[in-house]
Formats: sequence, structure tokens, C-alpha cells
Amino acid sequence: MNILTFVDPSPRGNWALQLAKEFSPKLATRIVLLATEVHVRADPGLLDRAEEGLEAPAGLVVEKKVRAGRPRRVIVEEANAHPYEITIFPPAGRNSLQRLIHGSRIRTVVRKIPSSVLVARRPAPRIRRILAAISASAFGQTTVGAGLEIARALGAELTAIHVLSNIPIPAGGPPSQGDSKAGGDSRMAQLLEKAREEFRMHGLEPRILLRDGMVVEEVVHEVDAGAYDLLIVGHHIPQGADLHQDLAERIILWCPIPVLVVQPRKVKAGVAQGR
Amino acid sequence: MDKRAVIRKTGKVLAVAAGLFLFILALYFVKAGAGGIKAWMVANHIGGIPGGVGFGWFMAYICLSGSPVAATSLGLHADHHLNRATGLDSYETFSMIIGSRLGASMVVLLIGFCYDLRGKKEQRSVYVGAVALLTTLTTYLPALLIGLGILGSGALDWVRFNRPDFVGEGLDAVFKPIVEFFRGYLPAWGIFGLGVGVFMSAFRIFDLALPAVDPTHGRIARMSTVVYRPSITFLLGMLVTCVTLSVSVSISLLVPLTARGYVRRENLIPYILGANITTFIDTLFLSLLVNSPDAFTIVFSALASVSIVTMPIIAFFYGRYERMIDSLAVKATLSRRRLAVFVVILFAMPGFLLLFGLLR
Repeated sequence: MNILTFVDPSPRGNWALQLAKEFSPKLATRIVLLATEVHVRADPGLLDRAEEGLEAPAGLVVEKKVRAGRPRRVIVEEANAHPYEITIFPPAGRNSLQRLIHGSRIRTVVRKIPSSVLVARRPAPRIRRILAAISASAFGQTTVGAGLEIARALGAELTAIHVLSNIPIPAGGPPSQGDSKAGGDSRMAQLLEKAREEFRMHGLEPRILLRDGMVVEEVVHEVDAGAYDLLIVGHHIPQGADLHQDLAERIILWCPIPVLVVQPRKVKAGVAQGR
Repeated sequence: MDKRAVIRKTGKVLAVAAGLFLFILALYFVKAGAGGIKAWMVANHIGGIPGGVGFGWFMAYICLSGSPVAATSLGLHADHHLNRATGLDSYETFSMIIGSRLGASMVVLLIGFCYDLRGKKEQRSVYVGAVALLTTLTTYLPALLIGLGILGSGALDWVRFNRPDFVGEGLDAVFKPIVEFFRGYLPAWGIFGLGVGVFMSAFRIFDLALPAVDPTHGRIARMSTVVYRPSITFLLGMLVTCVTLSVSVSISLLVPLTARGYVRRENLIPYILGANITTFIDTLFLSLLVNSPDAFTIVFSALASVSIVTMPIIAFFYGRYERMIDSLAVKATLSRRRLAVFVVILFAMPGFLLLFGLLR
């Protein structure tokens, strides 16, 4: 697996490095450390120190790259130019007002690169508990699959969460009498069963939490309440996305812990392999 | 066009015509009975801004709808325009209109509660009512203050329409004899009550003319499965309520729109925020028929003040606002006991406002 890690001189740059160090022994074959020209000019030893800090095990290839431009542009250009599986980068550390003026680094990178993304918020000393937020779609199963692979590699435990945000409208006949609701329930049950199967295929007892409420709020609340170290979310924008709210993006922006964003390219690959 | 389509279209045109006729008739009844109701209000010390809000709020509970109450307030205001001793002044009219919408939002909660009682398993559709109520309370109460400021400053005084004399004369020729006929049999408060009843019938008949929505096609048909941007759902709420003229009907219409009778929680609040703005459309239209040039200004001020409160929420604070409303609605509907306390508070609020008007 090729991992791209963006390094900057801020403390947040160390978070990205710490996560790269945790992911590299069992998941990576090659790590590329990337910095901007401005950062390297200000701190010439930045990438060398990062390489040392990585403590790369034997066999792991570490490369250093410098690109000109703003951090988000540099990350997007590099991730699009080469086939990385995961891109690790820290958030820019902006508040809501600054995000409104300057935009969001996370939002730009997640939208513009094809690889999965690991947003490096302050990590725990070791990742032991992982939460995967899954939707009632085929993509939910892929998210669980990705979570299980990573959990196994890191020696962590995985829990999945699915939030039901549908609420009955007070009019017409009671919805329990309608067959379309029953159809919706059975579809969700099927998809959750597939997620459970993923667990069993990895020799694990399924751990799937069901919550009632608003998706973003419930996921972030569970992250806090369950003391998780990593959150995994799937990110797929459906057709007509201009009208849709991107809930995955909101979770990524709000979550206080590192977030791994599984991108659709992995889904396509998974589907192709499955066929 | 086949025969059935022609009959359907003719029926709709007739429903609109009958609804319009009853609207104007109700307006004449309310104007004729205003002296009686004003005397009753004065005798019971109901008046001023708190009294107006409380009265409109309570009336909406009785009518189970806000539109007839808002329309009634315009009738009372028209009478005040003719005779300063009776009817409601601009501030009282505005307050009663706002109060009527606050009371109307309770209707959604009541429908939700009844709906839950009918269901075999826990449905929690009362949550939708709680969200509708809290959304209305949190936007309309600040809007009340802003609107009163707008009316006081005269900032929107230029927004007014004078009914042409020939229209007034024509309407008088048709409707005054009907009102005079009933005056022979009923006291002033009876005429007023009849007016409120006719308003409610007019809205019922207008409902028959609503366009049918195909729940199986188009983007909105998938609303129950997809979360839309708040601004999109907000516009949808505005649009649907423009047609249905009622927030409770508009929310009920989400059933065919979503095709499943379910809606994503994330879509609910912006939809209601949008619906709460355009719900004034019918009152705005009715204000054109009232023989008082500032009636339109009063309703327009209500529409403007609710928009002034709502737009920044959608544009800048939506996430925080959504969390606050959801958290309050969940807390209020967590158990039957909590819901009962919530409902008691909601009934007590207009009572408190009426009492405040009494003590002033």
C-alpha cells in the first residue's frame, strides 16, 4: 500500500506523522513524505526529521517530496499525480469564520482526490478502538470491510454504528400499515446483515450499534461516549449532489478524533473483485 | 382533454370561486361582529400586544388552524379603520397574527400525538410536532419584536395597497345584504363567531382546489431517503406552503411527497422554517380585500420580520440551531409525562400573555 503523508512544521504535522508511523508497519510498502516549498525553506530539516521520526521498519520505502503551492493544492496535485491508497494530512486548524473566508483544507482534499484520506487530528498513543459509521447502502458494507482490515492490521477492535434518522410524519394512515415502510425496513435489515457477515468472515462477533437521531450528532456523540481512537466513514456523493447535503463531510469536519475517509474508488475495486 | 379531466378542472375552478366568495363573506361577518367582540375584549381587559398574541394563540387552538384567526384579525382591523373605538389597532392586529401562527403550530403536535395513539407500535411522530412548535416559537417570538419595531418606525409604510372604490362598492352591494340578514337574527358576537366559522369553511373549500402531487416521480419523491442541503429543503418548504397555504397541511403533504410517510430528521427543520415564511401568503392576499390601506403593511411586516430572523439561521447558524431544536424536541417527547408537561406549558403560555394584558 502506498501512503502519502503531508508534513508541516506545526504540531498538527506531528499528528500526521504519528498516524503514518502507526499505519506503516503492517499496511504500507512505500511512504511518501510531502511538504511545501515554503515550509521547507523556513525549516530545511523538516523532512529529514520526519523520516527519522517515522522509524521506518526494514523493507519500507520512504521518499521525500517538495512541491510549490498552498498545502491543499500541493496535497491534491501529488495525490492525483500518483496512485496512493491513503493520503494522511492534518487539518489547517481554522475556526468556522476562517473556514468561511479561506475555505476548508479537509473539504477540498476529500472532494478532489481519488484515494482514501486520513484526517490527522490529535491521535491517541495507540489506536485500540475503531468506530465505523455505516449507511444503509452497499457502501456501508465496504466501509465495514475497510474498517475490519485496518483493525486487524493495527490490532484494534472495530464497532460499527448505523443511525436511523427517519421519522414518521403525523398524517395519513399509520405507516406500520404501509408495505413501502416494511420494504424499507427489510432492505436496511439486509444491508445490516451483510455488514454482520463481514464481521463473521473476519472471525469476529458482529458489533453493530443502532441509534435513532440525526446522523452527524449521533456519530460524533458515540465517538465521545465510546472513547474511540479512530473513526471510519464512507464518502460517496450521489447523483444530483448539488442538491444534497454531504453528511460524511460534516462528520469529518466535526469529529474530534482522526477520521479515515473511504472513497468510492475502493468500492468500485471491491465490487469488481467480488464479481 | 377527456371528460373526467374537464370535470376535475371545472370542480377546482368552482372550489376557488366558492372559497373566495366565502373568504369575503367571512370578512364582512367579522367586521360586522367586531364591535361585539371588542366589547367582550374590553370587558375582559384583553388588549395590547401581549393580549393580541395570547388571544390569537388561543383562538388558533379553538379553530385548530392559524389562517382563520389571522384573517379574523384583519377583519377586526378593518373595523378599527372605520371606527377607532372598535376593532384592533395595527400593533394588536400584528400581535394577533403572530399569535395565530404560534397556536397553529400546536396543531401539528396534536395531530402527531393522535397519530401516535393510533399506531400499534411506538411511532414518535409527535417529534415532528415538537420540532414544528419549537421552530415556530424560536423564530416568531424574536420576529414579533422586530415586526413591532418595523411597524413603529414606519419603515415599511410605503408598502401598502388601496382597494379601488369601485371594488369596495361592488363587494358592499353583494355582501352587505347577506350580513344585514343575519344581523336580524344574531347578536354581534354571534355574527363574529359565524365569520370565524365561514373562514374555516373557506379554507376547507380552498383545499379542494390544491394541485395533486405525484409522489412517485421527481426529486422530491425521494426526499425520505436523501438528506438535502438545508437551503434546498427550506425552498421546498416555502414552495409547498405557498400552494397549501397552511404549515400543518404542508407538513402533512410530506407524506405523499416522501411516498413513504417518513422524512429524514435532517430535512425537517429547514422545511418548517421555509413553510413558516410563506404561510402568510393567504393572509397577505386577504389583506388586499380589506378596506384598510395598512392591512397589507401589517401582514408584509410579519412576513419580513420572520424572514429577517430565519435567513441568517439558514445562512450562518444552521448547524447549531438544528442541534438545539432537535435536542429540545427529543427531551420534550422522551416520555408521555414529559410531553404532557410540554403541552401544559404551551397551553399556559397564551394564558399567561392574556393575564399580562389583563394586568397592564
